[in-house]
Amino acid sequence: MNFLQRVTKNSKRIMRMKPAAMVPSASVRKLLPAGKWSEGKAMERLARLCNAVLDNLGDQQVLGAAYDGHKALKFAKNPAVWVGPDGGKTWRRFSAPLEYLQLEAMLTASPTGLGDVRDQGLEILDLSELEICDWKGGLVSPQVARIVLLAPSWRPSASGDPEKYFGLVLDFDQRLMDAKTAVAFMDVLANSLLEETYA
Amino acid sequence: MTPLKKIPPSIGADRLAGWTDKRMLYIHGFQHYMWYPNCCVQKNIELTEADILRKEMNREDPDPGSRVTFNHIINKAVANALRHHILFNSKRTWRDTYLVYPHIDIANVVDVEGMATQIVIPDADKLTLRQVAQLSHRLVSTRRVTLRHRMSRLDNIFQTLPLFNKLAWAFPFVNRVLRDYSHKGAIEHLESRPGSFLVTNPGTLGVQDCKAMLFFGFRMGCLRVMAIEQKAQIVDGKLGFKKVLPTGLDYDQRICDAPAAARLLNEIQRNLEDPRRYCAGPVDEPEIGSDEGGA
Amino acid sequence: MRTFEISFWDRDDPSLSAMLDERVDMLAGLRVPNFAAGANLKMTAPMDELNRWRKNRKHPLGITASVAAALRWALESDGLFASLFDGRDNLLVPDNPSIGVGVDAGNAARIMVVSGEEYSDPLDLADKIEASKRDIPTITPVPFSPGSKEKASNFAKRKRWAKMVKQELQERFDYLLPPLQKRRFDTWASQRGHIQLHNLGTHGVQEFKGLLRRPWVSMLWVLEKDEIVSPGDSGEFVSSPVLPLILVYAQELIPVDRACTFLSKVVEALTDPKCLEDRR
Repeated sequence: MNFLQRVTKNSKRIMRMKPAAMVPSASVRKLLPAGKWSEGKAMERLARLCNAVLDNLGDQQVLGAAYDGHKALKFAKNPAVWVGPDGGKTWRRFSAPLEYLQLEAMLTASPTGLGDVRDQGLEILDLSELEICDWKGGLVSPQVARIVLLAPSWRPSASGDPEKYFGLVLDFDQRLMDAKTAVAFMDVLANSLLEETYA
Repeated sequence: MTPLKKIPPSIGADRLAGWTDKRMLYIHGFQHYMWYPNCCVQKNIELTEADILRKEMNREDPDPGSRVTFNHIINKAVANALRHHILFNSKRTWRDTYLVYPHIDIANVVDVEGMATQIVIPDADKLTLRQVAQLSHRLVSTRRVTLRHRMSRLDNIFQTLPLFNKLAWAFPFVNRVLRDYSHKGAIEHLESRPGSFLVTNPGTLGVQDCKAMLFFGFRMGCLRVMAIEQKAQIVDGKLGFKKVLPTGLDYDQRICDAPAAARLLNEIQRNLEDPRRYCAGPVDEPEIGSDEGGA
Repeated sequence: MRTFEISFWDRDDPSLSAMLDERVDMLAGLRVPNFAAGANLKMTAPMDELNRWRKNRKHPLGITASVAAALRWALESDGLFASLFDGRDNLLVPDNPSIGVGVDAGNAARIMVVSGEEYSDPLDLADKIEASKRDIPTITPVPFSPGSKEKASNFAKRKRWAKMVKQELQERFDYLLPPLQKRRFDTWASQRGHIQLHNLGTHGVQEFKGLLRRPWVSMLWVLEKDEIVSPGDSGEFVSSPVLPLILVYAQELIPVDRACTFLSKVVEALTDPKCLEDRR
């Protein structure tokens, strides 16, 4: 896919990029300890993260919401997420927990690599393989939030030994949430990743 | 690193309706003239000296009403640094006009029962560290009472008047009209001292980094304090860790560029890394420009 | 009777207005319609090889000049990042992009533009930046102290007001006529370059978040050198110096992976600076 195709594909998004559509977005970053969830391939890790997000979206419906027209919020009955592995080269929508093999199959299904045209729903972007250690992104209506997984680094754990930590960033609409709410969601997400086992 | 805690999700499906109702006030309150080009510069500040001073002062006076915390030392350090960078102690108004406040009033974001609110420490540069601590303890406990009262009143209104949130878009305009055309509203607006510089501490929530539009263009700067970090370093071939405080300064790009902001941040760092010299005692009155005695 | 303590400076204050006047163009460009949704990406480049290379050269290079060379080299593989909007939503990609290097000059940063036409080779460009770095006149910051509070004369106020109004009207008028708008945007490239490079390491800044505005598509910021501790080959933890780089790019236009590829290209050139010489 060349650049022209991409721009054409994203033209709707670019046209939407008017001042009125820009969302006052904030980003908070937390550390996510590596563990069982992060073992294996990058795709496997991403699949576990997506499943954990989908599991917890029921309690945090605001994150799965989207702006509908002028400043009105719309809540989806079955919240979906948009997944962008490899730094968002392709985007896929999914709304039910999947195994990583299924996810991999979904992501490589399209021979052109065009993926789906992103629409409403929470975005999950994987930058961990690209060695990106910090991220701040803007949000454009109807987006309300975005989750980004960053590259790992070494830091001391509670016991004092060095341990690997991933960076987890949540971009969110500042009008809709305080930092505290966003952080609470990230804590819930981290806990469910560390405590529960995802396929 | 802080161990992870199980925090219950704050917006469950059952509370969603009430939540979005209240938040509609924010969504409509946000106007597009509030956009401002914000950048931030950030540094890691060492806290060893500040920690020693804090412990020493708390040993002298263990009264919980005057306990000194890192927040108070940071407030004092910022107030002192602003005396030499008064451009950041200003406010942007209409038609590219900037007002530089004659007082250094430090506003603090505090979280009271899940709602972010602000307290203002007036003339923080002229107070001693102990006075700053006492004042902010008093203000937080007062705000806790008044905010609870206000929130319950808002809840009542939402329950009794279901159409109330449909009119949310009108509130910013009503406020402006009241301010412009009512004598009382104008006096209240002039008299209010909303805090000329903002200090916020998302680090208490364990946040490693936070990038946001924190002051919506009405102030020129805001200091963000993140969670204390353990920085790995190799000393004599052995792995060790040193505690640092990541501190970021958000500024309005319209009034200055990154170097000017970095200079203010460097001065804050100097104050914080040698707090005994710069923060502990009272500060002399400025020689010129005293605004007292006007009637 | 209540007493009021309202005394403040506004832009009619002589010292403040002098500073703001310098930034009038900046202020005009920073209106909401000119904002782009800028995303920030941070990557670190190992410095061991870079330090050895830049100090052993015939003409030693500074950090800024070395990064400028790497940036110029990366732009050869992807010129999109140095493209400019022409003011009518068309994107123009230059053959030889100019690089603007930010120089601290008191309250406002000055941009030193190195023309891409003249210095198309990355190393020539780096040498040019290194040579002319010290030629930039530094301006002492406007002294701000409570003592500088003075009133402007009525005449000065009116003169300034007329100037502001003229500039604002001119800007609105330009927007209606495509050729004028184009001319206005053309000046941006010669004044500030196709892509800007700023080094905040000299100020000790360790983290930065920037913004982006039209007509630019991306900017590169260099931060203070950092030490990273990671497990080495033999299992021992070793410390190595790294240079953090931040790429601010237009998120609505450029896909994330393309930005990542570009930034890693800059990092690649800094990791192994020999590649800059090999191409000669």
